[in-house]
Amino acid sequence: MLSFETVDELLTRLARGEATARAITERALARIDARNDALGAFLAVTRDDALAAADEADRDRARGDAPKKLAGVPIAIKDALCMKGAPTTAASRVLANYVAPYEATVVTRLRAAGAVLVGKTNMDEFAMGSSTEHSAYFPCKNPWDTTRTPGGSSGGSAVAVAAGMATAALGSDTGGSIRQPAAYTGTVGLKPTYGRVSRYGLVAFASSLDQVGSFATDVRGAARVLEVVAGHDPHDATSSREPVPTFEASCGQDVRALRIGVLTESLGDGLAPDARASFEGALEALEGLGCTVSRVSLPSLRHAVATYYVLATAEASSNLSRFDGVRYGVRVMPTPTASLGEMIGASRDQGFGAEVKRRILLGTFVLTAGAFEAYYLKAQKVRRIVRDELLALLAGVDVLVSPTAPTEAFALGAHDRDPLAMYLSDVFTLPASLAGLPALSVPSGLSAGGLPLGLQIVGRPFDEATVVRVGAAFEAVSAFRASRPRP
Amino acid sequence: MERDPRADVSPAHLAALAGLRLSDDEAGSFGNDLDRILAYMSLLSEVDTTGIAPLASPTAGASPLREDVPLREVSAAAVVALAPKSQDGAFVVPKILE
Repeated sequence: MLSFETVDELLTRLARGEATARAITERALARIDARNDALGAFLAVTRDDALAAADEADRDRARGDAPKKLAGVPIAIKDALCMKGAPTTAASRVLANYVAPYEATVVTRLRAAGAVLVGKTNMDEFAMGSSTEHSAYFPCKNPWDTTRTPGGSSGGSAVAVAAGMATAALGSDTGGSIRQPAAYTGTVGLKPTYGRVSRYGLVAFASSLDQVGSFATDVRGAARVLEVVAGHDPHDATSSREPVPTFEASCGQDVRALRIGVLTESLGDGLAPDARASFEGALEALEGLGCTVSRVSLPSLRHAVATYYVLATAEASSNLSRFDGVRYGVRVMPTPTASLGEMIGASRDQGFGAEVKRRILLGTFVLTAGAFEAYYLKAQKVRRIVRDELLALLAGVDVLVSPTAPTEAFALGAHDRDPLAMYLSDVFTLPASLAGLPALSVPSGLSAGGLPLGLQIVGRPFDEATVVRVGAAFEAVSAFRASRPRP
Repeated sequence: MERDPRADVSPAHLAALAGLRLSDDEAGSFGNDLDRILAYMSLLSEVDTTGIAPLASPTAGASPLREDVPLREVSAAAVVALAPKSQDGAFVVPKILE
């Protein structure tokens, strides 16, 4: 199964001359052609760009150049990231005709590392959703069961990797948008520390929360992709100057005596019995590896969903004010003599989908003079409590673990009439987002219905290395690895 | 007892503030959604935040600044070319002055 190779296996075969980057790329493109209608993972396929990069990787190898870190590896890019010359829509109609005139720093870094960029992946519009059903174009479906969502908002990137259409992918994670789809699709998703990766060229949703991260079939692959894209970028003032270690080197390291804290509050009533059983199995596996596992308490988990949805919608209402039909994007003139205000209103009405409008209204409300203190400022204060509680816990343990999500992937349409129910499904991923901490989702097993479940590992700021180390050690003993999506 | 700020939720008013147009159906359904979501968010009021400073960003203070050197990685022409309507290198909007 060529398409399901890990990044490391693929690079090894290329190095040995057992495959060419062109053959690997053609295989990935063929799989996209064969399955995208059914799965809806890609909004655009960048075939010519991909084949040109593959040929260059083959020429470099033929010349005997030192291999680049991702030379010849097919990688999919979430459509929230600008790829020069390719459409960048963030799955919104308002950007239907937008072709990026510049490139996200992370995309430029992937190219410099020899990656083969195969296309732009489907997502919830402006990353607002947990199911990739809120794409303005078509919903994305879970390859394990096409009546289920793949999670979101980076569902297309997760499915691209899960279905062998790409060996790795980039996503963005504001409140769990990499980790939750990784859990639902049986892939590995790595959200780094806030500030670890440049957001230059990422369509902004909630700027104090957004981070770019990686998907792959294994922890090592996700670590390698993150290593390539991480590091300070003068174009993004929030990107950190912290040195970037070789995250991949943490894979295979001993985890004996590492201290694991289990978030007790994540084991409450909302956790499905099969997800609980899988999580308890993961804890036994970690103990079997020699880790010390203890229960810890995060009382503020109860307030994470409310805090996040106040802050994220407030920031979104501000960030999305730029879509006005003037400088780029869709313009709608309701009548030939419409005023500027009428033009802006009509452009936004037709350009934005229902979930985006709902969040803009909510964010606008919490920023009104009457609600500012009770909602927005209050949520910022509770955010500090969440962060301080997490940092205090991480002073006593090396990583914190919980299930990535309370249930297996939910059915398409399950939350159509109840947006709050969808928001509540993000509960376990939100604390790390609010605190800006690195977090990984690694497959932990299958639900009673045979769908993937994930283990979330959260670390200290800029300590992705320990998160990766624990994730890789767990992955090596987890029974999940033999599983693959049903055809 | 403070007045509940949710009393001011009117989708039509919020839409006007946000530069959105809503149909009557949308205004009704969003109004119901906002009521439910904000009722849930009132959970925040149970947290004692006395003496807690707001946290706007997880970045611990320092945002590294770059040298103040102009960069021209994207030309003005390429930017204006993205506009739905442009003329002579400028964005064109409906007339705003009579």
